[in-house]
Amino acid sequence: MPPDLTLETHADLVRRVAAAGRDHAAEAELCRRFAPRVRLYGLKHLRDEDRARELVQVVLVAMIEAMRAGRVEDPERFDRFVLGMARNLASRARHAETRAVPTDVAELDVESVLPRHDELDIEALLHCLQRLETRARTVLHLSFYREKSADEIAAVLETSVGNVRVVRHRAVAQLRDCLGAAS
Amino acid sequence: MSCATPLTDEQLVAYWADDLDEAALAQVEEHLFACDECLANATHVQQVAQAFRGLPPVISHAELAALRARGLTIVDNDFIAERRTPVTFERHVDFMIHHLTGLDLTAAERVEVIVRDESGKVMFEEPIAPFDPQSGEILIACQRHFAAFPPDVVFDVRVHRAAAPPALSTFCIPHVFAS
Repeated sequence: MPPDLTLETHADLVRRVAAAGRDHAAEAELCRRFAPRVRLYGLKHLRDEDRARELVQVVLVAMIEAMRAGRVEDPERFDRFVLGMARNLASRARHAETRAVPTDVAELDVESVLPRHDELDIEALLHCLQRLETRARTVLHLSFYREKSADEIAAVLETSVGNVRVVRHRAVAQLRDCLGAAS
Repeated sequence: MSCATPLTDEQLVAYWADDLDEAALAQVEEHLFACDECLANATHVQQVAQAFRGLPPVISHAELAALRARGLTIVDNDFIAERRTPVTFERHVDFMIHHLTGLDLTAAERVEVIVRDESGKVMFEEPIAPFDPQSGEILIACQRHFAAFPPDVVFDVRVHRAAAPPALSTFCIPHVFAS
């Protein structure tokens, strides 16, 4: 029976790969762990699901190549190492305004290491939105669709920045509770 | 990393709302790369933020051009203020674009759109609606899932100008969604 790698630390898995030159099981386990993190980082900084998935692809490829080549200097801080790669590659993609292109390990199947993310049920969301105060809906809309800062929202709604932040986080919490109950 | 000090909801919402300074942003991201529990919470908040990006009732002319470029089935309707004009959202349609026309936007500093039903219950407020000063119109992107709202929809458009009271135009547009 193969060992249960899910119980191993990042550092132990990195050492396994480096020692053998390649270790498909350890690499797959690390990809499974870091793919959702890199995707979320990509969604935040690249603002697009497709580009976020491309970022996952290039970061995981670079991660595997670095492990195989023994270029991970401090395996105990491997999460920061991967975050650093995500930052560099996302920054490059953003500034070049070009799509990231996978390199040598391009056969890497990103879909297999990313958990399935269900889209929110829009009708359920609308139902839950109607249960929010109008002001809370407006704050969420201005924050997440119009991408206005708390300062800008406070100015247009003639309230304080602190109030905008409180309304915003309470509204998200209410929506999450309502959507959780709906599902 | 053990999650002895999980990220708060406030931090996660601020993260997705671009409301963290550089140091706080870095701290949150380092935590998310190390902590499964907070990663799951951050993903939930992201889903809510992402869903909002798909729900803009008021759109700009540039956003309309982008919708047309996607090859969607779009039906354009022109409306005049103070006239009740029903519309039907047909089955084959992806978007109906309501052109709320006859507005003087040339001196507008800000345009506010309130979506309500005829009884006055507010469904949505857009305090800084996008507008093209020369176009004389505001664009509403009506989507099929808006069938969840009451059908007797009214759009109040307030044009704010310097040193003048806001000019209010009301568009009453009852909706039928073909099943």
